[in-house]
Amino acid sequence: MVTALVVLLGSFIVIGLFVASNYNALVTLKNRFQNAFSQIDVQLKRRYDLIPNLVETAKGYMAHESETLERVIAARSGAMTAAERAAANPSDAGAMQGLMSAEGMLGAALGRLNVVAEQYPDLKADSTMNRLMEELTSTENKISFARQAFNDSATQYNIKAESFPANIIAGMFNFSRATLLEFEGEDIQNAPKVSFG
Amino acid sequence: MKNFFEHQDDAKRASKRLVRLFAAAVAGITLILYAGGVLLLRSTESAQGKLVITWWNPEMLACVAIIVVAGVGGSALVRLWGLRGGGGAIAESLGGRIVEPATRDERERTLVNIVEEMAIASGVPVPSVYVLDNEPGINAFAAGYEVSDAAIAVTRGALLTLTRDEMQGVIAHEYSHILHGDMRLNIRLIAVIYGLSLLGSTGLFLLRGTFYGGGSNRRRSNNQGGGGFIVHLAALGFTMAAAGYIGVLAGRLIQSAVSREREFLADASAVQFTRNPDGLAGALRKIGGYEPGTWIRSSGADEMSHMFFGDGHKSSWGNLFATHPPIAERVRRLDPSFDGVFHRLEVPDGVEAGVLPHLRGVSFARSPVANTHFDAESAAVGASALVSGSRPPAPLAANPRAHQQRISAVDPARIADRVGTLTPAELDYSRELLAAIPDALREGVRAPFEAVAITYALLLDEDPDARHAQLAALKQISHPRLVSATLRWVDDIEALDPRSRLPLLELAAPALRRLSSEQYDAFRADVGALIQADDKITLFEFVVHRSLMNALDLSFGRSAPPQQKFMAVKPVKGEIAVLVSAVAIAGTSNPIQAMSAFRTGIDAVPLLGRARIDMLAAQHCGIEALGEAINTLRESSLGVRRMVLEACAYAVLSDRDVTLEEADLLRVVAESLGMPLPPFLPKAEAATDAPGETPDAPSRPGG
Repeated sequence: MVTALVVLLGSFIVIGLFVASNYNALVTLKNRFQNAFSQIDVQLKRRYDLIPNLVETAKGYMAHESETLERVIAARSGAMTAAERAAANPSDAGAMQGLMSAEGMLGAALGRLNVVAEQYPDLKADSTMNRLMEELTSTENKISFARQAFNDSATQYNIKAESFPANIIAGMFNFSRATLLEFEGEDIQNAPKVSFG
Repeated sequence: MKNFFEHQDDAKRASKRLVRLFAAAVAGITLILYAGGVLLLRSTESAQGKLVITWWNPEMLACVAIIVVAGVGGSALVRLWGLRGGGGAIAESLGGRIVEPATRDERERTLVNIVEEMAIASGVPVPSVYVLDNEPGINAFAAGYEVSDAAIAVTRGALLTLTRDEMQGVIAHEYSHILHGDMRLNIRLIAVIYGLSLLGSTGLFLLRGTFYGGGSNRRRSNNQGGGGFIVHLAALGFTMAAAGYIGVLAGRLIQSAVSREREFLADASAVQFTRNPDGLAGALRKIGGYEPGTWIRSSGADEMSHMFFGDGHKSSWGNLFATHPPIAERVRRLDPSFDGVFHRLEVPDGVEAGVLPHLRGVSFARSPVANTHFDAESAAVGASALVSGSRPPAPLAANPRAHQQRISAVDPARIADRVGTLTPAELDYSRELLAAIPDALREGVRAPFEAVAITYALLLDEDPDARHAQLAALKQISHPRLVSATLRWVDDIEALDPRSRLPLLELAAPALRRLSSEQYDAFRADVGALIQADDKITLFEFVVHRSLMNALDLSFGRSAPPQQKFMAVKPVKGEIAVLVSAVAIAGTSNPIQAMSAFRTGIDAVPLLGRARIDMLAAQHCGIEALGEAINTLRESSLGVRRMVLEACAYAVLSDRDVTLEEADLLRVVAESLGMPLPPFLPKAEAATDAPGETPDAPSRPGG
């Protein structure tokens, strides 16, 4: 009788500890990748703040290209909404997809602006414009660096959640897969797409 | 006031007390379970009419003891293992959101500034900052294994209600915990409480399980044996729950026995650090009149209550189980004239906003009144820092080479008193150093990408050939965008006051901790390549490298907290020779002076002087040997490390002509050995305001 109790008790404790430690590990990794998103978020917001200034400056030189400029503004506000949704819950796959496509549109709109701007030498020589472009590039760099950090930690979480034995716990407590972020046309200067590191 | 080493001794004593109390609690639980078990067996046996079990049954006692020790001890160890992620992991487990160093929220920005200033002033790596968004109470904590992986977290309630001065008082209180060895003690306490409470929850689980399971079982079949087993299980569950409850109570008692004294100490130290009792007292007063008080809502908080600024759980047991002294008493120790009446503080709008997930990461709405009040406050502090200028900022435009800068004479005999503390003079000085950093750099260093680039730029050599080799090496292994970002910072770095170089690097730590581990590996490789590219490693490069490793390696799990292996001087004689020789050689180009500096250092510490330690030639104490020596010395006892630090201090400081580079080397060595040293004030100020001789705070509380 005593042996049975000891065995039973022992297995209770072992199972309890197993569940607890795996659960905790998953929570930690999930927190980490969700927290990593705020790194992207803070830089995305900075970029959204830069864009109206950019458009305002460009307007003075290219009044005929209002369609291009409006498209940039519209894409910016779309991206802002999407980013807010994604920031609220970085593990929500839908919100992440939304952010990716909104950012893709913004990137494309900015790319077109860049191409059109080539035809306006005065604009290219404008010091405000140059400073803004410089700042925009540096923000892009920060974003893609932060994005890589996010993807690294999201991958780490995914690996843990999908490998045995944590996958049992992940299934029990609904730890869903993290979505990796890839921004298309992220780089308006078309720098080579090499991963950082 | 006790110094760092005495505080560490106290913490160690508290740790031992903790272990004894824990052992006593485990023994108590074993006895209760044993008594319960015997009672149970005797009652069933007497019901069956044969009484075999006696009250004294060594086998059963051994059985129970093994179960309890394995269960409680094992779960405590598992908890300890789960906490190995350090301060950040603890903050995250309580729902902490990391404050982006680049945050644009003003309150968060002010908080980050306070934390940065105090880190620079005390010589510890800048901790990461967290906000507990779900907590309306006013509370805070510092957690971590080592000084270098500490995290500071404040609740949303604290963020929204405290002024800058009050927040500074609270943060200074947390720095006392960081500097006085309390964090490790706290982590052990968490594990102990967890172990003690697990037994109770298992018992409850068993009781509940058998209650429901047993009921359905009996309906299905009337199996006599099975029923008996169930009854036994239920009884066992009951006994375990009872024993577990005793365990929880014992845990609370241990929490309060160990941590209350440390809280008074932290309050006293906070005043000593800031010379402003009103800040901390103001924060405590606000808590006293604030309905949510210091309550922590998160479910994980109970086992961590002792770690917080104020008691985290709402205790119905009054003072017996309180982990902290009563708020009124804490205020009275800071302000003897306190009448015990708290003014009611309304819960600010938006304090609950953090509960709603969709507001994550969105800056919250604040009442404009509170906002301006807060801003005025921080502006006033900033202004006073500038105006208090009996010490005008040093000439910043000039960029004299680092080795021409002299620091003020510090009496090496007082070095032990300077470790692990900070004074208001150093706090002012650190503000000055930070103010000397141009905004672009200070802003840049808060984003991980630019922090990496700025670190690379700092490492670039002044010599064009060497720099060329470095850049070639960097281009080979690093991303082109990083290389061009590095080049963009070169001018700013060259214009930077040399005294602010190391602080700038320290400011980068929180952003660099935000790298992913893959990025960190690449970063480390790049730093290594930059240092080695020109085939010579300068003192500054060594200092930068060591400082980065101190601040980051532990957080990324690239090094483990050092385990104490050497209790005496003898086994580490060789390492001491390397370190003190290197420090002596670094200070002068004259070999005879270096020799005399070495002897001064070694002979100043009697135990080292007697150990016959001889100076090594320069080629035997190069950068690599030095790095290894430091790593080994980290594993010696605090007593040995103190002697080593004193010897280094004598070697560096006794010639009364101390360069900035030497001083930085001394500080980075001290930091590596776990004894943070505040910055040395520059020479111009030596006459009026020698560190260590600053007058004490006007109204210092006891303790």
